[in-house]
Amino acid sequence: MTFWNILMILARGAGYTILVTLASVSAGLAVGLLLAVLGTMQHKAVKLFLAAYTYIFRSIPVLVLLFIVFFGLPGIDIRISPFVSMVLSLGLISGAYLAEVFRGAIAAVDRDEILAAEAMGMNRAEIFLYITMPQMFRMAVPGMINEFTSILKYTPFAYTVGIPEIMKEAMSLAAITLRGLEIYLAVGIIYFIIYKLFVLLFMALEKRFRIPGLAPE
Amino acid sequence: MALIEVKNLVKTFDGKAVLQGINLELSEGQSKVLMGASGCGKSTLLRCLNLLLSPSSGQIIFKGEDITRPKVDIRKIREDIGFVFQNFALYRHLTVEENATLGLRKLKKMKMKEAVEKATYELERVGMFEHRNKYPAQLSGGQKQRAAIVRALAMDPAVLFLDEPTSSLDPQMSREVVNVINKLFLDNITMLCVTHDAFLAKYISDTIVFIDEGVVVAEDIAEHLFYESTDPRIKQFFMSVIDHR
Amino acid sequence: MKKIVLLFCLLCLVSLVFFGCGKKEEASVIQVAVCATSPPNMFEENGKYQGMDLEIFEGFCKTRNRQYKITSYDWQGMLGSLIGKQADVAFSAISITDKRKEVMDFSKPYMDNTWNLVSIKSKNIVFNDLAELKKYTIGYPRGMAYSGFIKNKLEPEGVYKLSDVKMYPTYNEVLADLKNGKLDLAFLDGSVASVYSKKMDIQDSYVFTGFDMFGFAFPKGSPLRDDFDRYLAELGPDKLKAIIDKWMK
Repeated sequence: MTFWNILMILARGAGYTILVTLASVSAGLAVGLLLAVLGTMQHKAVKLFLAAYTYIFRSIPVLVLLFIVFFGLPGIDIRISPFVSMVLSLGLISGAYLAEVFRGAIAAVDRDEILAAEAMGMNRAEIFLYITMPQMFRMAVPGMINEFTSILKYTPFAYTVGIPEIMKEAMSLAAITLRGLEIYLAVGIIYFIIYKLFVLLFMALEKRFRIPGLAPE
Repeated sequence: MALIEVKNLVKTFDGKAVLQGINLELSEGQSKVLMGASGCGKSTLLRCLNLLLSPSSGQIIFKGEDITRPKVDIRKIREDIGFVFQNFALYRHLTVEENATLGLRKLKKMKMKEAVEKATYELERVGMFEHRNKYPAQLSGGQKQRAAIVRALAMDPAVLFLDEPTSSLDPQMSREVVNVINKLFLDNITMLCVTHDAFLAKYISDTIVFIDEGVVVAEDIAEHLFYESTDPRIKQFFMSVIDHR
Repeated sequence: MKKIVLLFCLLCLVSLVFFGCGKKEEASVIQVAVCATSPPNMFEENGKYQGMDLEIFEGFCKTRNRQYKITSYDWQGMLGSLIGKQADVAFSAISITDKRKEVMDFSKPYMDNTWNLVSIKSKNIVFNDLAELKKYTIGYPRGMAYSGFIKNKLEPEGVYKLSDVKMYPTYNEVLADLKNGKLDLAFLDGSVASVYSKKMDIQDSYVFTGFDMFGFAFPKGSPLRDDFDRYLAELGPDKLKAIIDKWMK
């Protein structure tokens, strides 16, 4: 079996890796956005919830949360599929970090522009949707790329709950061939390729949506 | 009937009364400029009129409606008042044209085509049509303020409020903007402007309203107030702001 | 920019629905959990799952006219899936131990297993007296039944301490360290040792026999377990031995 054969076999798992990554990134974005919006509210109860959420989900390791969701919850009769468990765990945790990124970006929006929008007759929701969010996303690009990279590097944990991504292929292959070094090198190469492809995609998107005078901090 | 009637408007901040009983009227087609020393309350007055600040007491009648009463539809009133800020406050993620059409599409629910038509009319009136696809960061100060005026006019407001429109501009750009607002003045746009720029005031006002310590002290045409006033406060103020050449 | 975000969220939703619902297959499909890193009992070659355990189980499914679906886990994930009831059965050379019996049900034993301490031939480590064990480093995959044995039998007798053992993810990593000299002895199941001795120059340094047996594992209280035991009885010891010998060759 040549190195190329090894790469081809491992690439089978790459599809799952990419799928888990994309789904988790979407989930993280959704959670982060929701938390960022909540962060603009002044209610004491909301602020308390945010503080608790951030504290919990920034201190818990991904694997621990994953195991609680997938292996622990069935104990109280809540059964969640492997894929959803993974996406949920990664989404909740990266959402906590993304919320910070978004909060910073939201704070960077010019107060005067918000005042102008108010003077125009927009309510808080419209101001957030049409003024704050478009600017926030552009300024949060570096932070989002960062989170995406972290998520990609957490996907090997998906193997522990039965998702057949790259690591699963690697371990099965290693068990019969015992060519560990080549196999794990190949795994590294594949992750590098996936990472590079996504970064290129992101940069193309960033270029398409770039606005003169509105650059990420 | 006047478009705007202000009766005994009082506004206090932390116990300090900035506006101490303003009385003012503005009719359709009129243009009045509010002037006075810093801290006299002129900007505060403007922001009370479109409820960006809430009055402490007094009445504001806008188009026959008392807008100081509790259940008023703030959104409808604000859509009817165009506001131009000292720092332009253009939406930096939108082009000049998009800045103008945003309100039309999202608040007045216009279709894109209609909105662009309306925006185009105002863009041409103000001389910004060739810059319509530029972003605020790509404009000079004068162009930014003109874009802000387009944005305000596009909504077809009953009155245009201008808060120190030339104060952030150098003399050359300031002249550019004064010319534009003068054009609007000659088109009989109803305007209320706050400024300490006497040059601007002369060319865009029917009358100037002089405010001191939260009350209206005098209202008269520019020439009278600038050169013929006997009130010491007014004399002193205009001595310092007018270029006596 | 907003459209891209919307697209992402849509993708997330679609994947969730696709995968979340995908697992709701007909109840008649048996969910199987394996850890395909223990040849010849259970492994993956050329994209296909193969092994002695699988052949036995396939026989069972054929007679009961049932379908099965395999999901691969790491060793502890496989055992965990029985406890969480994500799987109906698990097999991959799983030793029957009292500790495991507390949380899962086993079938009747289907194969005797030996526990082999193997070493690299060139190092020439052979001993008959367990007292000599102290001199060497031992390693094996995390979660294997050897831990219970060391803790409950060897440690009280002062032969070896569990805390001195080196843990690894799978056999592959254990053997890698064996080869590069960082490890003296590797604990392998006899069946696994027979497969790897063909690929590496390893020899048995000491063999524990007579007490370990493999079983098919089921969630506690599973009715499938009793049915499977009935199948083993139907199959008979001769046919069973034939299958085992075939894979152990």
